[in-house]
Amino acid sequence: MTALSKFSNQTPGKLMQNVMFVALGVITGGIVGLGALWLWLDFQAGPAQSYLGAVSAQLWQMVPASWQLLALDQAQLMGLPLTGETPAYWYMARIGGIIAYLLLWLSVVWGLLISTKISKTMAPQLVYGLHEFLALLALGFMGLHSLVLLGDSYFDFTIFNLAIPFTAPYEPLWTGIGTITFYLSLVLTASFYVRKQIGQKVWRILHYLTFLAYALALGHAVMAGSDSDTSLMTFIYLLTGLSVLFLTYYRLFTLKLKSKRKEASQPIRS
Amino acid sequence: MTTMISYPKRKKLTSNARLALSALSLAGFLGGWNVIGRLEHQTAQAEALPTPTPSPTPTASPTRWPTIIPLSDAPPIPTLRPTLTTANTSLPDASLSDLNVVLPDIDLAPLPTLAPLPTLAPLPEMPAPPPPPPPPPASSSSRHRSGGS
Repeated sequence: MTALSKFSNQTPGKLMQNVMFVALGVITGGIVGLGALWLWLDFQAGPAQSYLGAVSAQLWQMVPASWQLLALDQAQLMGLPLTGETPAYWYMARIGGIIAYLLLWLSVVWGLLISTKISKTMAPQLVYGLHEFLALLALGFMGLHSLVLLGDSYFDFTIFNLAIPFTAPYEPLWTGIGTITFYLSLVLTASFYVRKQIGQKVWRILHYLTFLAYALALGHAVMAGSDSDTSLMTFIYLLTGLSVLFLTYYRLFTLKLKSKRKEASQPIRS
Repeated sequence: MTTMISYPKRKKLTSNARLALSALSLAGFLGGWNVIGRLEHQTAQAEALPTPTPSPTPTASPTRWPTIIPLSDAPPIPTLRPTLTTANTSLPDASLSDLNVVLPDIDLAPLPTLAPLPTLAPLPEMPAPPPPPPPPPASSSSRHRSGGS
């Protein structure tokens, strides 16, 4: 039974109540979103005179002096506050991309562990739930990685550059590949929730796109990432890439072995 | 025969596990942001500092240079002639007439005379000074304003 038919089978009173709840949720979400946007724009117009500035100043008074000094030092290193030509957006985009890549890698590795039955001994709740949630987290960080670029003053990114592949002002080809990776991840993550509707076969075929999404993400990270030339990031990319390659080969090997065993177990007709 | 496709019920993570994972990712994000900022700061500081120029270190030359000959074998250095031989000889005088130099005629125009300075107007007379103030009358209140002991 689909969700839609479930919805239509409800009594008019119950249906009305549900519609009202949904409408209330949408209105509240809209008000909160608009309020947050207004607060942000107000802060950008003049941090000292803004409401956010006033509230943060009040909160700042409550912090002990020794902590204030430490926090100021750390904030200066991180490029805070987020005003003027701060490099903080660029730092956030870089680390957001790295975290998103690592989460995507974890999700892919976890998925391969599920398919190779290595994770048989673990609780199914942990196995399937973690695979799905890691993909969701990766998608969230991908969104953050791209959206913070809008605040960067060095590269003039627009929402158009982020949404349309190969139109970015920085490394258009590899940034475009990053955009495609985001769309692919979006489709793959959404497929978790429409598995019943699209059927197991389609879902499985769609799920093979994960390998493409991972390969594109790795390419984007290596070629467009400004930290790729550091020894730590080179080591991370090598380790993650090789681990996925090894598990994929292992998966193909076990599949082959399985099919051979199946063939051998079939009785020979005389 | 029909095949039955069974969809395994999706098992979800507990909310605590989700929260822990999200917190870990966020902590990684903030920590990484700080590390990147720190590294960029260090790089900027290193670039701002003047790079020390390497001092040339003496190294053994691969070619064998000829050694200096001993002082005893060196020929004597020629000395200057004594001044006594040139004392009586005088240097020839050179004059403009001997050189046959034709000097151009310079026509100097008479310098213009300066105009006489204007005379200043006489100063205005000083106004009469005001009469001195009358002496203050001796009273008891003056003691309080004097600021004495």
